[in-house]
Amino acid sequence: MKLEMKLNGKDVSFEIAGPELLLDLLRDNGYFGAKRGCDNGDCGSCAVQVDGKSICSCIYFAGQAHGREVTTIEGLGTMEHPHALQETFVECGAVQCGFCIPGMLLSAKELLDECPNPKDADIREALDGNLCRCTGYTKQFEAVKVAAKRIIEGKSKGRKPARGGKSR
Amino acid sequence: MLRNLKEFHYPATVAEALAILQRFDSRASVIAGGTSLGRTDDAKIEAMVDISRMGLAFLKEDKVSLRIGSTNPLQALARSRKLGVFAGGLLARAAASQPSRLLRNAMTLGGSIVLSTPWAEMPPALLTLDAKMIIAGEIEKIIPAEEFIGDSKYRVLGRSEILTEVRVPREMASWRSGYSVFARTRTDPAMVIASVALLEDRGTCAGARIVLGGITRRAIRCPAAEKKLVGKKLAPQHFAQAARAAVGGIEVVVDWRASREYRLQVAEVVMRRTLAACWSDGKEGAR
Ligand SMILES: Cc1cc2nc3c(=O)[nH]c(=O)nc-3n(C[C@H](O)[C@H](O)[C@H](O)COP(=O)(O)OP(=O)(O)OC[C@H]3O[C@@H](n4cnc5c(N)ncnc54)[C@H](O)[C@@H]3O)c2cc1C
Ligand code: FES
Ligand code: FES
Repeated sequence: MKLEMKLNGKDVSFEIAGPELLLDLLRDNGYFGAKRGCDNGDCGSCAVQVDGKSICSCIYFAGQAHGREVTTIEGLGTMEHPHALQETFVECGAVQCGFCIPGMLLSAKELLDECPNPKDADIREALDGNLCRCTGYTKQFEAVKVAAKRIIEGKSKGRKPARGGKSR
Repeated sequence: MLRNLKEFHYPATVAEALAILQRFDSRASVIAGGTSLGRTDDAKIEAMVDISRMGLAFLKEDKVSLRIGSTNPLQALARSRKLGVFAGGLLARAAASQPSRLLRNAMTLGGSIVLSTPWAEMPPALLTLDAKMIIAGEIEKIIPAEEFIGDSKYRVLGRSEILTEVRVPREMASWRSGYSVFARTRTDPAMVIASVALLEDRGTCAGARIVLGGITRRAIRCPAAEKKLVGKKLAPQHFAQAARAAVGGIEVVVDWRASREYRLQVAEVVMRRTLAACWSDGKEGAR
């Protein structure tokens, strides 16, 4: 069956099998940012955004994404122009092995889009589906707070696209 | 895996969705958030009817009811201002207690009711608030939560029917509520859910609706416990009596997590604390 969607801002179409899951479709097409961890909806390493909401792509049929807008970590920022969250995750030392980070960044982005100045409890709630085996979450919470501040102040080290607005 | 699944349909109206379901008979499945279907194994299913684009994610009030569309994601309910104050915020709290934002974003109210696992968070809260389920099919049916919840999926809900909305009587809006989940960890299935609503009239308990979930196969109301409270000026001993009555004679679901005796003891304590917290508007009692 034919699937049409917007992927990281571009109109794309794929020929898919009915039972195909969104995670498989993405990884088979080179979007390796979404990771297969538990494959069961428990860990959040496969998180991507569908219409701005983060979901587990390992339990989401590709067919459900038809006509919708999907954002993966590849659509959040680039090496040259990282998103504010990507900058602060690095600066705050929030990344160890990195396996959980794409999903965590997308959950954090959803939070900052909805709630530009989150409290600790908001951050906890927003990231409660993204498990990390390496860190103790403290640095990641800190990175989200610093990114929120940076986006509000609109300076992001003077670089432009880290505005934290719409994903590209 | 749904190995014979070949097509997805995206109806824009309930009538369109019903026509597709009827055409496929039992070879089509409704899909809402899809969180339970992605891992299902059913060779019969050839088509999915995606009901998430039919305008059923509404939340509105009419003269008699609060009306909640079935495809509302749990996260939207957890965040809703209206639900945050209706009956002490019981429905918002129940929705928020499903422990992962990623899942709450996808899981829908309808999916959690139709699936009604013993540990499901929403059914006990809906039973507490005397909700009615609105079913679209050949004829529209209105089924009380008590009859609908926890029954085998297709006994009450036909294969070609859709749960379109849930209606909660507006008169429940002023009731106080309490809701507690007891689980091994925040993400483990609930072993006990205590969901209660109490109505106060000048210091006296004028109404009680007490529901247990998690510990039983389906959420159940506890009339014996309610009798211990109604008409009384409530004090701690009443909560203890009601909690004891609530767990008396129930059929306990047991798995590897804990024994029957442990579950019963915990259920009684959780219920007692939930009642105390509810009556004191959260100033006393547990979590
Ligand atoms: C990791 C994980 C954790 C989970 N934890 C919990 C938990 O803590 N508590 C819990 O209760 N459940 C849990 N579940 C089970 C399930 O995902 C949820 O119950 C969820 O709410 C189902 O909603 P959905 O919209 O995703 O339903 P779907 O998966 O889309 O559908 C579920 C079933 O209901 C039918 N259906 C859905 N909506 C309607 C409707 N409106 N009318 C008619 N039929 C309908 C579908 O045909 C299907 O058979 C969990 C699942 C996963 C993968
Ligand atoms: S891989 Fe999807 S939630 Fe773990
Ligand atoms: S950094 Fe290794 S899992 Fe999170």
